[in-house]
Amino acid sequence: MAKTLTILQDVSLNIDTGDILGILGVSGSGKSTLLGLLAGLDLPTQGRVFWNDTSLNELNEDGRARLRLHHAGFIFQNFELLPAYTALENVLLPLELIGQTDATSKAKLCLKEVELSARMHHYPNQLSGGEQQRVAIARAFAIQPSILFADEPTGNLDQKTGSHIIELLFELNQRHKTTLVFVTHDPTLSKICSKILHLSEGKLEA
Amino acid sequence: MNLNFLSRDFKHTEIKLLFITMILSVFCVSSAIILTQGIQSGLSDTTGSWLGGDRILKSPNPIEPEIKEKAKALHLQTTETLTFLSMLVHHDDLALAEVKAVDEQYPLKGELRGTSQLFTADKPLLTVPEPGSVWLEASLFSLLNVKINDTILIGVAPFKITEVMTFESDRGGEGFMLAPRALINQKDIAKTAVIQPGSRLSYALLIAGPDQNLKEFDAWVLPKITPTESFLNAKEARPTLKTLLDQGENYLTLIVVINLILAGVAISAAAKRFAARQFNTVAIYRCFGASAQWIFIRYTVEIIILGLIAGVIGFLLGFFVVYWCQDLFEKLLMQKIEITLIIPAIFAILTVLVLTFGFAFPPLYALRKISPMRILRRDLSVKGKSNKGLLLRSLNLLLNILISSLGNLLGKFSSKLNVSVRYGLANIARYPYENSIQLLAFSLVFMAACLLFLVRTDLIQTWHNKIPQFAPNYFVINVGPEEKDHFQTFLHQNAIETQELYPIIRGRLLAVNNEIVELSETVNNTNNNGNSSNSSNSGNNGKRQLHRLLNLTYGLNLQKDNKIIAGSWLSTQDTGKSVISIEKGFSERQNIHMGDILKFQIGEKLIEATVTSIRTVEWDSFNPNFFVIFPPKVIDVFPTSYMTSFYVAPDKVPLLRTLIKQFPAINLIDISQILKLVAVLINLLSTVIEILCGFTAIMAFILLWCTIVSNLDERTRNAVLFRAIGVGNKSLLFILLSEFLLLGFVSGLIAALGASAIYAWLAINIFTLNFIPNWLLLIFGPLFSMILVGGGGWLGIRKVFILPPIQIFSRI
Ligand SMILES: Nc1ncnc2c1ncn2[C@@H]1O[C@H](COP(=O)(O)OP(=O)(O)O)[C@@H](O)[C@H]1O
Ligand SMILES: [Mg+2]
Repeated sequence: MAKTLTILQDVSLNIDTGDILGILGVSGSGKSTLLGLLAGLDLPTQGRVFWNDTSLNELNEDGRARLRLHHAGFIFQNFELLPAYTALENVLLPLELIGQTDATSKAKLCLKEVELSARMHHYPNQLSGGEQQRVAIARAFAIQPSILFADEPTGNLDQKTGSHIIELLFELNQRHKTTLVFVTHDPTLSKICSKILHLSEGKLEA
Repeated sequence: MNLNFLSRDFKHTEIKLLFITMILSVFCVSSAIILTQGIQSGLSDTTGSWLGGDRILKSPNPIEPEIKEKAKALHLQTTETLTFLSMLVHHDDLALAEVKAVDEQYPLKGELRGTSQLFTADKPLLTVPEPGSVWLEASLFSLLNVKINDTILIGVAPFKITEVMTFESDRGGEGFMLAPRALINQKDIAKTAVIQPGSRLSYALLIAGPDQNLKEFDAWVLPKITPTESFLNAKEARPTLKTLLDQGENYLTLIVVINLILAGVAISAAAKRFAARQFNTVAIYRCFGASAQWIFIRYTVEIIILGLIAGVIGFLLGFFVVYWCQDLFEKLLMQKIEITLIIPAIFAILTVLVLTFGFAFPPLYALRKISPMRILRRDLSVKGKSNKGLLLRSLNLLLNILISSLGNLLGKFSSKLNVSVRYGLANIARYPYENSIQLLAFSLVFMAACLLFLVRTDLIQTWHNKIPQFAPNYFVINVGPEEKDHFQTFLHQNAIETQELYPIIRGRLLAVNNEIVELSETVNNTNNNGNSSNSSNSGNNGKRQLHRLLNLTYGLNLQKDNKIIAGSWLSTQDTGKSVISIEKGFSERQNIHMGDILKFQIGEKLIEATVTSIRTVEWDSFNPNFFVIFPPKVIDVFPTSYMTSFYVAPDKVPLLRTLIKQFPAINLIDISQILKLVAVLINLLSTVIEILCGFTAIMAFILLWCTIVSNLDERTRNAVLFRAIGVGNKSLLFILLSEFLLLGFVSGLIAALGASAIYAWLAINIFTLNFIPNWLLLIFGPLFSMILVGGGGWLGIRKVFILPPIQIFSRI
C-alpha cells in the first residue's frame, strides 16, 4: 500500500448565497481538490460538506449527482465540451437531462447570452478556445444553477480572452444571482471576489 | 535500443492484444496446416489400405511392362495380382470362388487378417500363402465342408488350407463379390492351369509411394488407360471416405480463412489504436528533433521484432498442440502419422509477414508524417473528412433508421428511461464513422462465429448420421427365392433386425428410345459388380457399367435415403405397368431423361419401360441401393435372388457360422471394417474441427475486445463529464449500455443473416450438405451478440464508475 497522501488539511469555510468565492494558490496547493469536494464530486476522507442543510456525506453517488444536475453548474480549465456535439447540443445536454420543456429554445437563449448564436451548429473543434469556453459558460448557466463551480476558467486562454471570459462570467452571475466558487492562480482577480481563500500546501492561509 | 522501446510499449493493451492475436493466428494457421497434413498422410495411408495400395490399375489383360517400368522409375512400389473365378472342389462338394493370386509384396497398404480357427478373434497376417497352400474366406469352409489343413482342388492343382481369411485390404476397391474369396500364391498360377483362352481374368497392379511421385505417375498413365481398364485412386475409391475427406479439408480451409480475416482486422484495429496513442509521443519526438526516418525505424523495427517473437511462439504452440494431437490421432487411426514441419513453417512465416506488413504496419508507418506542430495544437478528436465507403454509408443509414425507430418506441414506454437511452442511441449517430466501423467489425466477428458454428454443427451431425449406431454391418446376397422365408425366420429368431429383402434380377440395358447403347469389348471383370451399392466403379467408369449386368429390383417402398428429383415415385397404380425409376447419376451418364423408353434384356427376353421418376441416392449410406427400380408384377417372372443388409452385434457374430451352414448358397459380406474406419475418420475430423473452432473463438473474442476498446477513450472521457455535471450512475450505465446493446443487436442480426446466406451457399456448393435454414440462429444470434457486446462494453467502460468524478480536474 502506498503511503497516505494528505492533500487538504484543516479547511473550514462557509459560503453564503450570492457569494463570489475565489480560491487562490500555487499549482498543486489543492485548489481543484477543494473545489471537487465542495461540488460533491468526491467525499473527503474526514470532514463534512453541507449544501444548505443537506449533508453530502449522507448521500450516495447518485444522490450527489442528482443535486449537481439540478443545482450546480461547472466550468473547466480545458472546457470539457463533448467533441461530437455541436455548440447547441452541448448546451442542450443538461437541459434535456433534467427533462426541461422547450429545452431547445432555452439553449438558444443561453447561447445568445454568450454571443454565440451564429455558431450554434459548429463543433468544438471548429471554435476557438475563448468561444469554446463561452459555450461551456452557456452550458453551465442553462439550468439556472444556484451555485457555479469554475476551475481556472481562464487557465487555457490568453490574457485578453481570459478577461473577456471573466467579465462574461461575472455579468451572468450578477444577472442570474448565482453563487460562484472559482479557482484561479491569478491574484488580480481577487478584487472582484466577495470572499478569498488562499491555499498553500493544502492549508488555508489567513 | 528498440528492445527498450518494445518493453515500454508492451505496457499498452493494444500492443499486447496485437501480440496475442499474432500468436494465435500463427498458431491456428500452422496447426491447421500441420493437422491437415497429418490427416492427409494418415488418411491416404488408411484409404490406401482400401485398395491395398494408393492406386490400382485393373485390366483384363496382363499389365503392360511399360507401365510397371514407369512406376519403378518413379520409385513407386508395385505388386501384381490376378483374380479369376474358379470352382473349388473338396470330395463331392463344389463351390465357386474368386481366387486371387498374390506375391510377397501384397498388400502394399493395409493388411490381411485371418485366424486359424473359424469365428475366433483374428490377427494380422504378415505373409501371403506359401506356394501350395490356400487361404479361404469363412463361408467357403461350410460350402466345401472343410477345415484347416484339409486339401482342396483349384483347377487341377491341390492346395492345403492354412488360414481363415477375415479381412483383405483391397476389398474396398472391389466392391461386392459374387463369390467368396480364396487367396493363393502367384507362383501357383501356372499349376492350376486356369489361364486359358477365353477364361475371365482380372489383372491388377497395385501402386504405392509418395504423393508427388504418384501424381507424376497419374499424369503419365491416365491417357494410356483403355476403356476395358480402370485406374482407381485410393482417396476416390470410396465415396464415403472421399466426401468425408473433402468436407473435412474444406472445413479446415474455411477455418483458416476466417481466422486470417479475423486476425487481420483485429491486428489492424489494435495497431490503429496504438498508433493513435502514439501521436503525442511522436509529436514530442519530432519536437526534440527526431527525423521522420528515425521514427520510421523505431516503429518498424519494433513491429518486426514483435512479429518475429509472436511467430516463433505461435508456431511452437501449434507444434506442441499437434504433437499432443498426433498421439491421439495415431491411436484413432491406428497408424503412424508423418508430420513435416517445412510447409507449416513457410505458412507461419507468410502469416507473420502478411499480418505484420499488411495489417500492423500501415498505421505505424503513417506516424512518421506527424507534424511536430501537433504538440502545440492537440486536437484529440481529429475528425478527418473520412471518405466513407458505400458499405459504411449503408450501415450508417441502417443504424440511423434503427435508432430513430427505437427511440420512438422507447419514448412510448418510459419518459425517464427515455432521456438516457435516447442519449445513448443518439451517441451512435454522433460517431457515424467509428460506429459503422465497429458495427462492421462486430458483424464480421459474429458472422464468422455463426458460420463456423453452423457448418460445424451440420457437418458433424451429417457425419454422425451417416453411421447410425446400429448401421448394417453385413450384406447378404444370393438368397434364393425358396429360402427367402426361412432366411427371414432365422434372422427373426435370432433377433437380428433386417430391412426388407430386395429382389435382384439381372439384366442389361440395350437401348434408350430405340437407340442402341453401344457395346464395347467384353466384360472381363469377374467380380460382377452389378450391385450398385458400390458407386465408385459406377461413378468412375461411366459407360462401361452398362455392358455389365445391372441389378434390377422392384418394389413400391422408396428407400429412406432416396429423394425424388423429377417425376413421381412408383405408386400402387403403377403395379404391372412398364415404368421405372432411375438414379440421377445413371441418368446423367447415359443421358436418359424423364419419359425416355429403356429397353432391357433379362435372360432371353426384352422388356421396355418408361422413366417416370429420377432419384438421388446416398451412395455412401451403406444401404442397398439400385440404379433401376420397377414396380411389382413386371419383372417378377424372371429368376430372382434377394439381398439385404443387417446389423450383427459383436457377440452375435458366431451365429453367422450357423447362418452360413443353414444357407450355404448365400454370400455374406462383412463391411464392419469399412464402418469402423469411417467412424474413426469421423471422430478424427470432428476432434480437429472442435480444436480449431476453439482457437477461432478465442480470436473472435480478441477482435471483439479490440473493437470495443477502439473508441473507448472518447466514450470514457464523455462519461466522466456526464458524471461530473450530475448524471447518476444508473442513467449513465443506460446511456453507455444502450449504445453497445444496439450495436450488438444490429451486428448480431447482420451476422445471422449474412452467415445464413454464406452458409447456404457453402452447404450447397462446397460441403454438399442439405441446407436447412437455422431459425434459432436468427433469434439467438442477435441476442447473444447483444449480450456479448454489452458485456464487453461494460467491462471496458466500467472503470469510469470506479473512480470518483473528481478525476475530471486532473486531466488534460
Ligand atoms: N488522483 C490523485 N492522486 C494522487 N494525488 C493527487 C490526485 N489528484 C491530485 N493529487 C495531488 O493533490 C495535490 C493537489 O492537487 P490539485 O488539487 O489538483 O492542485 P491545484 O488544483 O491547486 O493545482 C497535488 O499535490 C496533486 O499531486
Ligand atoms: Mg487544479
